[in-house]
Amino acid sequence: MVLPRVFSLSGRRGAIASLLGGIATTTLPAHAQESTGLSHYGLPGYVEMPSAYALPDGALAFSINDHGGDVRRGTIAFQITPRLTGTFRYSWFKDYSATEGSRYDRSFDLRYQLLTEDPQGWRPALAIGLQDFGGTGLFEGEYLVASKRFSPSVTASVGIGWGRLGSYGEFSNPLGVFSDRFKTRLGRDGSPGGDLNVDHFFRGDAALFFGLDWQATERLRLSVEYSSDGMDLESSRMGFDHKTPINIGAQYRFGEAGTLGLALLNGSAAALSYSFILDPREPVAPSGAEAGPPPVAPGGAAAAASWGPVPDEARVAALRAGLKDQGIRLDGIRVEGAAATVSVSNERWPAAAEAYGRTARVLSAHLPAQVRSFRIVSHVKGVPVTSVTLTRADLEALEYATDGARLSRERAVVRDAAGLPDPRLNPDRSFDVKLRPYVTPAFFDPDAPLRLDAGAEARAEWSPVRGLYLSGAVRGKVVGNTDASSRDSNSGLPHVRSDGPLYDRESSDLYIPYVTAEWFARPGTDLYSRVSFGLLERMYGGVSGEVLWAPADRRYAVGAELNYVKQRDYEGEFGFLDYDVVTGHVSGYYDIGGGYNAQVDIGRYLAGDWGSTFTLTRRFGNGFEVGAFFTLTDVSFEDFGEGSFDKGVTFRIPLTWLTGQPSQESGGLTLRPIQRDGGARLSVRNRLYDLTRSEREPELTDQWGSFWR
Amino acid sequence: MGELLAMTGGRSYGRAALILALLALAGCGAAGKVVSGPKAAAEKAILPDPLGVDQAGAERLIRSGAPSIAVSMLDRGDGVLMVRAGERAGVTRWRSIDNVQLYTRGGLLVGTRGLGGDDLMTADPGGVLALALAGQGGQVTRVETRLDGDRRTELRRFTCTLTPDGTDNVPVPRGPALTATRLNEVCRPQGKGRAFANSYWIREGRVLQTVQHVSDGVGRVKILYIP
Repeated sequence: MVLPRVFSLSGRRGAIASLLGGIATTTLPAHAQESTGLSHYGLPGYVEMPSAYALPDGALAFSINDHGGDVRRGTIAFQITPRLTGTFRYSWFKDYSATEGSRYDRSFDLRYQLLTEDPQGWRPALAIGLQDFGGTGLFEGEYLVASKRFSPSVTASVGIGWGRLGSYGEFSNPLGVFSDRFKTRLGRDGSPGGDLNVDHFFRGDAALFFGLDWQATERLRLSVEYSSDGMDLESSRMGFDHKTPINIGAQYRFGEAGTLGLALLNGSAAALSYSFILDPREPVAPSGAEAGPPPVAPGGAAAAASWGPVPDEARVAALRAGLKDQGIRLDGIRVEGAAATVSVSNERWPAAAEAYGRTARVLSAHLPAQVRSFRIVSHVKGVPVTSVTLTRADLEALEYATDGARLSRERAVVRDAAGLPDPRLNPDRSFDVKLRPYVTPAFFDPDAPLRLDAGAEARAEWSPVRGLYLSGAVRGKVVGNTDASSRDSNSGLPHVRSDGPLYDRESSDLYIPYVTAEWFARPGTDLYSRVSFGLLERMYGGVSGEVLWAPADRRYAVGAELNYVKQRDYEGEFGFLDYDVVTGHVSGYYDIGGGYNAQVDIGRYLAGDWGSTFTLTRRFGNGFEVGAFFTLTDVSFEDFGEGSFDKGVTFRIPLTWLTGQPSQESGGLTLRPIQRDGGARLSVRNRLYDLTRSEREPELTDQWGSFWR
Repeated sequence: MGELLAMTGGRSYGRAALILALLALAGCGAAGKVVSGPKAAAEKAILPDPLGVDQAGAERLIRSGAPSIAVSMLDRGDGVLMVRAGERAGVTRWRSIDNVQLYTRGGLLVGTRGLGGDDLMTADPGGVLALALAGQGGQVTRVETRLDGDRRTELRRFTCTLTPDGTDNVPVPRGPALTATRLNEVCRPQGKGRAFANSYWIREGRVLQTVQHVSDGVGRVKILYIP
């Protein structure tokens, strides 16, 4: 088939440019970006010293630097709230100890901006910071710093530091006027790290530091500082030569690709650094880049009676095809008079509202004009979640209306679908098979901070009856080095997680990550349930049951989970070890608002220890997640071993964030400073809260802006 | 076929690698399709087919001689031909081969879908059309919605000033350039947002051509209603 020749505008650029000449000049220039330099600690600052500034709200800053080949630091900083910044840092000190050799160190920082800067007036930004407050203390220090921008390109800061930041030019702690306790600071030798060093904060001698930077060009930033860090550890243990408190640095920004920095530390060592800042609220395509939707249509001339109560096969097949083309699976339909009830499953759209919007438009075209209302029931794993009723009149009135998405939400009737009519067709469900690549990382082994395995994974899933899912996967490693770890667990607890290296080493060439039978149901309004049986995860098999109570009109939800599991053997086939345990939790979920979500789990962990896990996650509207958690149980810090208690940070990036194309897939990563056996939870698939969240309120309404996409 | 009709470009290798790594890390999954062969399976798993493109539908419209518009992305440099896919409630829906859509009311842009990832969700240009057709200047309030990076609706209001600006010869694809009166519109935000400018070319009581701001991400679009 030959299409009509399409003309090109490229030959007429000159004419167009002259026509548009008047417009180009009236478009205002973009605002100059006020970027913030990062110090070697990965937070806004100068060379080593901090400033009182914050990252853009929600931003993630990644940085890595190398000090003359002797010290390396890698830092992830996250702007948790507009004023609160948190970091996780992993560092390496070459030949730190005569007996143990090089040292790997994990540390956490927090900074809070007490005062924001008044750009017009005199008020500077003021921040208080805790550096390495919960690690082994190598970087331990606290500070109070004030920063002021003196011109669009110059900032200056002055601060007072304690601990590491009070170790050069130090003087007696001014807080000593309140109490003599502040005058001395205890050492930290022998601590396993991980616990809060509250009794150290703001103790001992203090010192002043100064910083100044100049944005010389759009890309080049020059910094100079007077450092209050005496570099005592580096001097005494690694032969560092502290010649001067002055550090100087230059940073060059390569646009989106990041910033490269070079600095001279204390007149004796060069440091190279690289950093980039990622804003979760800047996805590739803010609105999404999917193809346009089908239009609202007046509907066919056929009588509504021809559709019901048992619709004819050809009409259903056409509707099924129309929905499938929009990423929606038709599970059932029933037409009674002027009302249609349609059961669907959203197979593609990250925002459930878009699935409703597209379903409604397909229905408007396929169903007779006499059918005036559409009740659409969404499903997850075969069970109904939410029912949304829309009228043909509203769809027609609002398709192109200004702010039509919000108006359509106001007119839609949204209800919990449990117990409501849920028509079902004969299941048209095939055996789903997928083959895909996988990567599993192993972090922070002192011999190699990062190891990776990559391979292929085959997955299969079959749902013989509604709500019942039989699924499994097989993995074959193609390349990788996680089996190179020689660190075997020295844990005094049952080795419920710390034998990870054994699992990597002894794994069969083809191993089974999971094989399960799962049954999902809605026992009542606001209630969801799951029972899973089989090889639940790489290390455990058994049976797991969960109930979730998630009222549609509340910001909270409560769940309970009970499991009996036996530890799987290292090969990853069907064998088990001797260890078994009953484990379970009661979980509370709270949607704080503004994207912040809190979760508390109380119960019994895999090693038989009792305690609770606290999780705070910031979830952006586009699905990007950054979170942190810690678990305290009745295992003492001493018995727990290095790190004292379980904690870590989590990330999740939706595929849509990277591609702009609609997808429900995402990549997740949990970073723990160290994996031990205390406070370890079963990692069962398809926990109910996350499984159903996007189809439930309040997220459904939060994402309603996508309805008319 | 259709290379000038499709608005979405290929993906870079760098991004593809990042996506692959991300997915692989995820060990994540959603419902999939029955597929044949490992390569096809891997491709489908990673980047599934785009949905709802209905290329055949566009080809039918083109063959039937439906009215068309020439669309140029002035700040990106590409151009495309769109055909009229339908009209309802005074709004005309235009589409490209790959189903990027523009919605116009009386020739003025009131929405885009699939246009470069930063769509104009809705726009109410106020009384601009009536003023422009009458060749008069004036001041109106414009209301627009877009999705922000959090995928929430962001509503912005603008105060827009329309000014007549003489006549121009507007080049058209077949035949000599056409003379049209020109009006420029400068919109300043009431609160959040950036100022922008639009232009309209009116001939014989109808909009012949427009240059309109879509979004910060997409920039300006020029639409020529092919006579």
